[in-house]
Amino acid sequence: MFQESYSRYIEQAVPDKALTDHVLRLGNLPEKKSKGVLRAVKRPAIAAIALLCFLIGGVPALAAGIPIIYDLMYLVSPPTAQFFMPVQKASEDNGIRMEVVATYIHEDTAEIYVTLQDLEGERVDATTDLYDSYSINRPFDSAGYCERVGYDEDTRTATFLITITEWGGQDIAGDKITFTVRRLLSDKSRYEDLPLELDLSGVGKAPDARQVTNFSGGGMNSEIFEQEFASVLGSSNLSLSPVEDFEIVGAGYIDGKLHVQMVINNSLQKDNHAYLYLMDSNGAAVETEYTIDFFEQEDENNPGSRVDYCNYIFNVPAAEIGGYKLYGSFYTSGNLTEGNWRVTFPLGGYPLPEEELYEEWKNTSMSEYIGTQEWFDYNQSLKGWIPDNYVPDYVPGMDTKWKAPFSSEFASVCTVKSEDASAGIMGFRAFFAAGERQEIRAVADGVVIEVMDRYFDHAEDPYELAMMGLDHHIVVQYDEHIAVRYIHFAPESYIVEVGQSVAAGDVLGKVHGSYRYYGEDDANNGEYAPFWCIVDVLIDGVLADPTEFFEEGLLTDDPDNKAYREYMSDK
Amino acid sequence: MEPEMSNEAVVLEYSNMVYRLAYAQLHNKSDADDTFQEVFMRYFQKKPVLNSQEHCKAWLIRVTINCAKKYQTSAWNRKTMGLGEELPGADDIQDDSGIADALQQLSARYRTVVHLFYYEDYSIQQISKILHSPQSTVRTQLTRARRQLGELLKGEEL
Repeated sequence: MFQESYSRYIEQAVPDKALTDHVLRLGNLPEKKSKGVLRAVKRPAIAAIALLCFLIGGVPALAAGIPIIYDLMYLVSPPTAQFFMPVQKASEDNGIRMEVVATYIHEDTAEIYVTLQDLEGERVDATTDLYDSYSINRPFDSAGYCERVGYDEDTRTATFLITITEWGGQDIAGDKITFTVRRLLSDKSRYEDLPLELDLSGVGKAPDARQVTNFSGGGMNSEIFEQEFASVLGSSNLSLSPVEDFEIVGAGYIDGKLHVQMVINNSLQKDNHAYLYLMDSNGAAVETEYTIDFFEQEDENNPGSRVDYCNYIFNVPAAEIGGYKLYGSFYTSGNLTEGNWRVTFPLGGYPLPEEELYEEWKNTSMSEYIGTQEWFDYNQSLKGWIPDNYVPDYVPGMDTKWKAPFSSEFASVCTVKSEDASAGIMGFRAFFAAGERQEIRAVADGVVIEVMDRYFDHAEDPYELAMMGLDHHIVVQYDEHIAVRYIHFAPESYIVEVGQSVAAGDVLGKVHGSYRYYGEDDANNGEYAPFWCIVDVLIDGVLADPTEFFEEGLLTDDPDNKAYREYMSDK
Repeated sequence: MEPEMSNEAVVLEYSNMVYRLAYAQLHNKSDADDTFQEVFMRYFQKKPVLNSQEHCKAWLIRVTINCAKKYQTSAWNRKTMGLGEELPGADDIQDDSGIADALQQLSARYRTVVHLFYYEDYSIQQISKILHSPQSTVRTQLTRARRQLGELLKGEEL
């Protein structure tokens, strides 16, 4: 097998240790620029969800599984419930079954309902949380989050709603995603608004520092970090543990602000987190100004040895601090279940058939599209689609002797040396970025000799293979040697037929755009082709550099075209 | 979401992946070394915001391919300056199965696709996403690379 021998071969390529070490050293140099993001620890309560859970609690036991989902959907969003499409793909591991029940795709957002059911025990409960323990693999850049929307006691089934939004507002219907869960947290406890027995009036300047090794932190200004690190950490004699795994170890004033430091153990295993606030004598709460988190990394031989440090900074002057009391809210989970639940599913959404797409094209005016952000983005993205070794050259005007296949204001052109030798298209080709639904016009006079109104994706025989790069094209013979080939028409958009004479500037058809390439499994999960047109100039069937024709105006209706005669005599 | 990976973790996780991809394109240890270093330097400098490990990997793949291009050009220049056949360096992988020779004869672009498909196990769709090129292009490149390799490595099942 090639795959095996290739793997055997390429696996011999390994970076030298010295090289890797060198790169690692480079990576550990301190960053010059600080990112300066201070993360707020307090997690906003989502009122709607809380309300929903309450509602569910009040609903009498329903039949298991899917009906509950639909009820939930109606509760969450009645107008959209009907759009959810069933998926019903499940994965079972460790006695827990995860099922992707339904999806609803609209524009750039996908909503996905997932249920988790414990078939054996009671590891899934009304507090089960996937926070930080799930991952969504998808072929597009996106933001996603997951929230629990319900729990059914009788079937021990928890329901989650995952929402994914693609960056850039692309239409995501047709993509596939994989939803993976590795760990479940349940048996969650919350200890909220606990008064902490700490006499703040006794807090003075922070005492000596203690050194911590092997730490990591994220999202902080390095200067603040170092200061924090040196002075607050290890304010030795204080130890106050309101809840197991949480311990307040230090408090002190730095630069006129109160810093309180807490150590959290088992933060990963139990999703332990907390936040602190101050309350003045009138009962008014004072939130932290900011917080700083860092942690001592886990010792590999001793799982669970990671220690998190969380510093809470309050902007209350030392003179007034005696009038405040410290409160905290603590969250911990008693039960961690590990496993591997994974479901891959298509993101619903069925694309329109090509005819409908084309109808839609015809009804949209180009002028609404040109110059829009969408158009600009498209033109930018086109650059990524065109192979290497090209110099994109915007041709404003295009008013030279060469007639562009599109009206000038939005045609950009580049020439590309193609390696598609098997299709007879080795050589330079001209790529024109087109607007959506644009008409392709003849660049030169001639007689139409070939109209191909189909495209080949899965090439079986040599002919189809040769045609793979040439879907939907027209060939116009200019003279006995030269022909011009226009590629990327919309299906059935031709308004010429074989044998017809055309003059430069005549409309041949419309540019093909938003149709999908079919994916490997014939599912319609491919992506949209951009709007472009390729113009090939063929001399006796062989690609010639079209720029010469473009720039020199070789293809004109002038029978005494001197440039053309000279050009041809050189050949 | 997965926590952000430290520089060190990224290097350790992806060093082989990046190096092999660079080598697959360049077939030359010293250029692969340089590419390897440059890819991670760019990563450290840019600190791209990547929302998943897959995304991070895809970023590194793209940067590796871009960085390697530079050396492809210079290798080409060396070749055309009259050195004739490029001789394998002392450190380059020695291989008697003929696979190295066969790969040498493919263009770097085909080698990239072959590597991603056969070694990194990406599907055509994923490769097209990573390389930002249309699926049909990737599929065509792969088909042609396969056919060329099939001729060069007679008897190997592709």
